[in-house]
Amino acid sequence: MRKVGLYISVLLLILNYACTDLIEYSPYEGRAQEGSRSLNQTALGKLQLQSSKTFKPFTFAIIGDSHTYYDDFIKQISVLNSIDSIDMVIHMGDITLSGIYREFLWYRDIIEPLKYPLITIIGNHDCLSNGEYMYRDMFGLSNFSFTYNNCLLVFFDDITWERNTKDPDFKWLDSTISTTTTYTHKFVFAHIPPWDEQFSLGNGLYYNYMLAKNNVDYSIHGHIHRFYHGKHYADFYGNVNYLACGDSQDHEIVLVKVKENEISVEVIHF
Amino acid sequence: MKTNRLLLLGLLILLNHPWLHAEDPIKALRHKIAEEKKIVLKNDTVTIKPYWFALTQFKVQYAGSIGFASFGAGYDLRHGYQPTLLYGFLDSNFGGSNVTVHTISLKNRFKLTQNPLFGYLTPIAGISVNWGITHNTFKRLPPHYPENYYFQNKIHLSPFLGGESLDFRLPKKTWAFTLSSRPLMLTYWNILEPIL
Repeated sequence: MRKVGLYISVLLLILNYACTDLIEYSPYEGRAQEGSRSLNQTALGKLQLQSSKTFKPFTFAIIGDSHTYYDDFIKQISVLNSIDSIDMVIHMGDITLSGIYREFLWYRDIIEPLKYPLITIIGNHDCLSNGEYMYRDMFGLSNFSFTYNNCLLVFFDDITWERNTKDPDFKWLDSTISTTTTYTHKFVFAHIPPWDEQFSLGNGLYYNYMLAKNNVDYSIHGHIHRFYHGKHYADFYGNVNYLACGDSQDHEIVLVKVKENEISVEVIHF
Repeated sequence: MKTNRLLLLGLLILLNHPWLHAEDPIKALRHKIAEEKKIVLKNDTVTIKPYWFALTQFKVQYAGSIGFASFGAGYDLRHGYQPTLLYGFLDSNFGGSNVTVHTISLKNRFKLTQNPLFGYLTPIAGISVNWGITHNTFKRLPPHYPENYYFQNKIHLSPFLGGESLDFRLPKKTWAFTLSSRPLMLTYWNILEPIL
């Protein structure tokens, strides 16, 4: 009997130390694995090294809503790798369907071969279960901003229903985009577009007003699972451009080419 | 992860502690459960098992999607069916999760062969119904959502397949060790089961 105890203990120790990826404590686990933490921070570190203080033209790719469409997402990553001269890739959120632990690990494995810095923003599906804890551990803060080639890129967490709140943190957004520094262009990235049902009509209009007031060039989104490019609120107020990308199933990559006096959008189908 | 390792150390000590290896208490309990009483009513003799409801299996499980560690009890019924109700726990100290998860699991486990293969390995399969209690899980959507906006995320079904090796050729069937994998998720679990 003593032998049994010893065998079992040795096996448990081996499993505990050697098979961390195979052992799952719970689908609701809220902990990123060693080496998979602060991935956005790592991407920002790389971007900081290649960024210049004055404006320089650059291109970024937009993808989003990859949840459950894993085969298409793998293809999307491989197509991104075949495109030259992208400075960064931005995933517009909804990397999971139910915010469960294993979905985050699958995402981590699929993006691993991507050769460009990747920034991942939080989506409404990622906030289900303990996904928000997982996101924070794996990617960092959900509201953040940085400057790239003298352009301001703001990443705004506009998820409300999953937190049972009415308003996103508009105060943070306003203080971030109303900076006195002169930028060549300003971009705001948020998963949910302001005309979606998760926004009240008032919040949608207020969001647009804030962006227009602070001369934001583009507001970029995911969530709606289809491509959209237009001035959604031009009839009401301001001249803000809105852009949304489709999901991985749409087999497309949206490229945003930023020049000093012009921002162009190109859609690559594959 | 420190606690994780401390717990394993504790388990190592526990498994090698002399009281676990004393066979008398288990034997006595087994006899008690199997005990039959005869009652004579007029000309009829009725045989009853007063402890028919007594649980016959007590399980300690490590991992397996229902917590860092889980504990439970159940029965060994006919046709190799072994239902067990388990409670699993996961938090920052036990499993390193940033958020606490409680899980209630009904584990429906079937022995696939009557006798062990090669004399020691019994293949097992089954399905667990796991009820997760943690942040932002729901069986019915909160009222602020439109209908069918999300599918419920509180209950998960977890099929598993594995093998059970009894006794390591020891004389008494007291302990079983099982290593199983969930075919859909490639997740491993291992179980210590004292079987009465």
